Amino acid sequence: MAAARALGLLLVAVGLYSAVEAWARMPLGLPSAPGPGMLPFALGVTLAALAGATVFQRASEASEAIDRRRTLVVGALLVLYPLLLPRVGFGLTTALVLFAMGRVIAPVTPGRLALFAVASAVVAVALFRHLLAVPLPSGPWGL
Amino acid sequence: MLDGLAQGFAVALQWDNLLYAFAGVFLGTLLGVLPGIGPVAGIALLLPATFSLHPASAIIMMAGIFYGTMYGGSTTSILINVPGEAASVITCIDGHQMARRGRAGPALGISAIGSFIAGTLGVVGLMVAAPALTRLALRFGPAEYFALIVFGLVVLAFLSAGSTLRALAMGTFGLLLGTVGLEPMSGFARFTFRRPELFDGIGFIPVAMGLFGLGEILDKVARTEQDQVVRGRLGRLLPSREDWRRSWKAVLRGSGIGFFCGLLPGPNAVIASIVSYGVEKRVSRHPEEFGHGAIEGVAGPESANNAAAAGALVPLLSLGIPSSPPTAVLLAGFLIHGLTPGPLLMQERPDVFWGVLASMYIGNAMLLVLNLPLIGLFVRVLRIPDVYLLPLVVLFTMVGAYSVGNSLADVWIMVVFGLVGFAFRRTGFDPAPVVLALVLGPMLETALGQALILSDGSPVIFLASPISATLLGLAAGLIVWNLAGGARVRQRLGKLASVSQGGTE
Repeated sequence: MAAARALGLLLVAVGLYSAVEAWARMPLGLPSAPGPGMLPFALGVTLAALAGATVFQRASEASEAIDRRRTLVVGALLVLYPLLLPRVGFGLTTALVLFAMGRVIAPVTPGRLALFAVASAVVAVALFRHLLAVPLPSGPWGL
Repeated sequence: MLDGLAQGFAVALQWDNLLYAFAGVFLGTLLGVLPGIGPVAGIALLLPATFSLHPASAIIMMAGIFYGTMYGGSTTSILINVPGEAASVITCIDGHQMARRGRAGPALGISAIGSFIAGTLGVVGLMVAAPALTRLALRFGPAEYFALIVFGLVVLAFLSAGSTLRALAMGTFGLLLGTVGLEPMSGFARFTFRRPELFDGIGFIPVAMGLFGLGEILDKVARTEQDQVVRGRLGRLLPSREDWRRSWKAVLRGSGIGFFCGLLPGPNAVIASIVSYGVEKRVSRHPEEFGHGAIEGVAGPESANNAAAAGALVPLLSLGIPSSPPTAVLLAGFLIHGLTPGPLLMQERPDVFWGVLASMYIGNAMLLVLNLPLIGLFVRVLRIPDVYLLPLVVLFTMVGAYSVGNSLADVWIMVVFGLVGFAFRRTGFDPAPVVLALVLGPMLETALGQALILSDGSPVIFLASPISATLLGLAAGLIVWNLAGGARVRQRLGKLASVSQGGTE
């Protein structure tokens, strides 16, 4: 329940911030000519009220056990992917992240996993960059 | 109508459109088989692949992916007791029991055949209902559209898994996200933090891919239990004479229930399959067999979710308003290809409107032919270990998000919403209303603004029209009913639907 409450409070903060921002920085207009701030203001107030009510509500949330370490590492790798993408290029980023993700998900021999990661990256570069002409970042080494 | 259909078949039977319909239904089935990748993530993932296609071909392929996922989802439910997509959750109950008793083949067979019959009947319903609703929609003004969107969002919140309050909060959050970017009338920048990437607003596709694609991957990684595929022979796929005798009425009932549930806003395919299961159990002479491998418990729901896929296209094609997250992604596909679904689509682009409808007849037949002989292939796909499958799905989502606008900003948006989506799932907040509200938000704002300008600021305009007054009255009634005790009924549905929480949309 603590996580649900925290998320409810976060949504309250988002709602309040939106309402204040709309009130302070956007023209609200008149009912006959609504300004750009009118809807965000109304929605911000509504979100804060609804999310505030959820904080006091009893409701179910997933209770099964989760593997925290695995989840955190995979979550971090998801963030790492767009961070590395423009710096080292699509091919290398893909190979590195796929290898690291595989290592976290299940115990597979490093050699086998490396082969899978490199092969996937090579196929993805050939398919997306060369065949479908998606301009994926290539990084300083052209990878 | 017959002229339109003839024109549609002329489009759908062109060899390239046949190929795209085949690609759509095949990929849709494949994605439906994989647990967690439902129609939303599936269409969003493959959307960039349609960019270079003719609009009619692109929509034919995307529609194929949509109803193809409905076919594929049952395979996973029957063989590993995990729904491939949410609408197949109820199939787990009796389908998996049949598989454990060595009757996986007939369960898969009746699921495919029932899906074919229901899908075809659903397209007939779509063909009749969409033009009729289109004629009505031509009389809609801003007040009616505003009321329709509000009604849709309230019904969605009401039917969502878990708490209505949380679903309403999620819907409001989605509407708020829809206000990010330059305001269309004045060009005023809202919540853009001076980032030019946000001037066009938050992309719907990256948000959907994050919430439903990456969110599901994280959820799957977080789970400590592993899915087990039923081993052994599938047995004969074609149902026996006795199976047929028990199933044919369930298939027909499921088709009707599915189509009508498909018209409702919200997780209509999930609701359709749950309602169908309940009806079959109630009318059965052997209700005690349900839960222990009753074939009607597979035939009815699987028919219902396929008919619902056709029903869900009615509001999209005739009103231009998506009623569920998968149809919202389809709407994005229409818009990317320069098409505006709604009352004028049938007049302005009959090739697309009728071409898509005709292709659905062909696509359903393709699915039947595909599903029976290729079931072995789909079973092998299911046996791909997570250690290879999940990183590959991540790779495809990254490329998919990037290629929508060749922009890293979309990848970041997707990653952020992937993490947010995981948090939503784990805390009982249904992410579906966010996605739908994000799409409907700009439409709602435009309709509201136009209506208020027309009425010189008087809210009476929303009550002056019988259509908008009825829709707003129904929305208010639903909220009051929910507060007054209807929650119990909704929670029973939600409890069943929440089995699928974990990303199958």
